[in-house]
Amino acid sequence: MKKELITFGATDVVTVSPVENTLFIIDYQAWHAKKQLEVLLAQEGVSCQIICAYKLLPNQILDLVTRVTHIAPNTSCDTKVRGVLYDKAKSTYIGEIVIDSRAQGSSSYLENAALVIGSATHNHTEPILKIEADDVSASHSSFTGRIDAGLLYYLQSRGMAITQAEKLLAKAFLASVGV
Amino acid sequence: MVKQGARVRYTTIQNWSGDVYNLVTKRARVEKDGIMEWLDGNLGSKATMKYPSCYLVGERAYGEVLSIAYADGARHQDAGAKMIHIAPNTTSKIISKSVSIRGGRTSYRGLVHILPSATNARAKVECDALILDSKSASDTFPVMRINESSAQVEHEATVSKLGEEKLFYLTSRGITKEEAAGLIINGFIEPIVKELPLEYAVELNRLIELSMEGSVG
Repeated sequence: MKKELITFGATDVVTVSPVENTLFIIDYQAWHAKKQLEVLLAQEGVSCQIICAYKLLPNQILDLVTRVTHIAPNTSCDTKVRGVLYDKAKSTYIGEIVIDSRAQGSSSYLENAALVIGSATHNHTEPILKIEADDVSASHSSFTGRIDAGLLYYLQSRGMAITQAEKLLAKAFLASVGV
Repeated sequence: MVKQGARVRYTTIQNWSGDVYNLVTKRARVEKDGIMEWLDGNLGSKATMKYPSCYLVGERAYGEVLSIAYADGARHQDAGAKMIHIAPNTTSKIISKSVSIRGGRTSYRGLVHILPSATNARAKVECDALILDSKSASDTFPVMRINESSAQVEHEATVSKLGEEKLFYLTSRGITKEEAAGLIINGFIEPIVKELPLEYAVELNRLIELSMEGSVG
């Protein structure tokens, strides 16, 4: 699978139309404007993966939109966006999957998870599905919550300080996306 | 209005004529330890826009919306739910099942809003959609605004068609394709139908079976 790093740089919108199986990795930095990735699957049989892992330190902001549009048959896409939020961090994520009537046999999945470690955080998520074909499979999931208290307790019982345990679990949470 | 410690269940199964615009506002205010359950069945009508909502203003208030939307032909069922968590330790659940056939369109439009005062709030949303032919469509527009760091919100949604393996299994047992499709759809909406009073459940199942005639094969 080809790997492509998406860095927004001077532009807020990046549009890609892969012709071969591609893994897109969104390179997050502390953004203060909305960034949008548009993926158009116009080639039959192509599959792609989109991954974004971010860590919002205190007062940092993320504003990300991903839109995957399937217009060719038998295309597939797997989107994973995971983040960790510290004190007063603000995260806005809109993940849209559009499957046109021409894209029969396609599949598209979106997974979004936000792990809240700090306080006074704001997380706004909109996973959207627009499906115009019947012989398809599309799903999305979104989760926002704190670290499991049982996991924290286990690490603390092994002598780790709470901040160290949180850091380790946050690292594992982001690493599980596969970046 | 659900007062302290009370429980209210409001059930509607609506099958409007095809020239009706069904635009509804349903709101409930739920006080401390109160339980509000909206059971919402939407069939018929040219266009439905209905989003039952619960304002969870009291501690440990619970809101639930169980919604079925069935869009047959040139119909647009735009249903959903809104849960606004205002007080601490409030919980909510939204389950939405929708079926679109013969050019029908179903949309789920939902909001889960957790205010900063709603410490330890919990919300869960499940929406599933079935598209039965290539002329039909389905959309999902959920919004989650979480402004409290101790809250936990989960959301999942799927869109698919009738499984070929399930249809094949039932037809191999001598059931016609139409009856098999009707059975599978009734199974799909069963988690909500089982909560309905018996007469409503029977009526709903029968309406769907009638609608399925001539739709498969």
